[in-house]
Amino acid sequence: MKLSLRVNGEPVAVTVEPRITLLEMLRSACQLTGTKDGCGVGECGACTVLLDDQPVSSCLVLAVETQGRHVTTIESHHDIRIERMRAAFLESSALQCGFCTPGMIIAASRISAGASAKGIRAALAGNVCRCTGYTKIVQAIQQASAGRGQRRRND
Amino acid sequence: MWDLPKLSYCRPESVREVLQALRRPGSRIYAGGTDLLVALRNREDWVRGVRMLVDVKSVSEAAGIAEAGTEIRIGSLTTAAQLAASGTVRRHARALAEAAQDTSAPSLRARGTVGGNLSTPHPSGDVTTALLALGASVELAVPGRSAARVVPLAELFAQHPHQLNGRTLVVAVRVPKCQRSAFESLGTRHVFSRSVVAVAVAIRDGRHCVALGGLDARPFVATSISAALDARATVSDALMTDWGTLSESGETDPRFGLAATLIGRARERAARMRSRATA
Repeated sequence: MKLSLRVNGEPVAVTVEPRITLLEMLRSACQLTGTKDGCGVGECGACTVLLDDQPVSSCLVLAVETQGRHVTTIESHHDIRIERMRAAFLESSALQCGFCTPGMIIAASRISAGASAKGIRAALAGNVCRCTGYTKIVQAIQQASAGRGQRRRND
Repeated sequence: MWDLPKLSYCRPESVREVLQALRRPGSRIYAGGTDLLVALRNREDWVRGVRMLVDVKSVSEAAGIAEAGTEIRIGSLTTAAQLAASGTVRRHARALAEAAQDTSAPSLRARGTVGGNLSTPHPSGDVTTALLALGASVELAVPGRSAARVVPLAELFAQHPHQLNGRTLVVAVRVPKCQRSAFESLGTRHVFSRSVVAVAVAIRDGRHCVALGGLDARPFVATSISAALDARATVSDALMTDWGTLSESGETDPRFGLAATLIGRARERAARMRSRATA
């Protein structure tokens, strides 16, 4: 099936079989390998991307469903919330092996500013870090959220 | 982990077109995909022979939440996230909002639908458990008829346990408004695990309706337990009225204490809720 959609702001035209998942299409046809293929059954969150601004597990979305829609991945340089979260993760060293990081950053980018540590953990319930480095991840998200607030005050 | 099997795909835009597509052998309704795609990948028995996915997400008749007199009508495409966030559902079907909030993880709650939860043959199914306790009915699309057939969910499960098999389109569920209902569950993890035991309790005019998930092939209304609670039995005694049919190991089954605790909690919370005038 022929598809046209936007990926990270850019128009993309691809031909895919219906059984190809959004994850497979991103990693092979689009050559965007930042999105990770972890469990393949929606349990680990490593493949989290934004589908029209909503975090989803891309291993459980068919590529054909994305016709006419906008997909945002960790490679995006157009999304300020992802940019800030990426910077905060780097600053806080909120990663060890890094495999879960792209999915974590995408999911974290849509957590509302000012969420409590408990709220952050609930929002990240679908993202598993096998290195168990959750403390720094939560700190990074709180930091990004505080930065956001500060910037707003300075405006 | 295998790739998905070879599939064809179509995306009809009306109930009529869905029914037409479902006449093709090997077709199955596809909505959120959170259970179906996993099952197809794992080659699970219940999806054997599925060759065509009929994506129903463009069917407008199956979308939206609306109050209709003494009921709320919930389109079958409503996601768990939408259920949990809906003020209408929280006010008039609290157990359902709680079940939706309790299920899985955020990125899957954004995709998993009410219709999918009803049509997936799992023992737990938190949303289904809540719908049963609340006395919901389902609107089923019938070929050759413009009006949907409305059937009480508990009756459908009891009489035709295999009817909701992904080839019958649930257009919507209708939930009678209820001011006192609550949901409790426990899984092996705090989030993202199937409930070992799920409990929903609704109280109407002093009468209990208890639905249980995780203990049988599908969630069910525990009629004798409900009646025993009406008759002011203790939760343990009430649970004993039906436990023999659920577990061979009697009270030594660890799920007995778990179910009793969860029923107790749900009932207490439901009973404490303040009555509000229904529409």
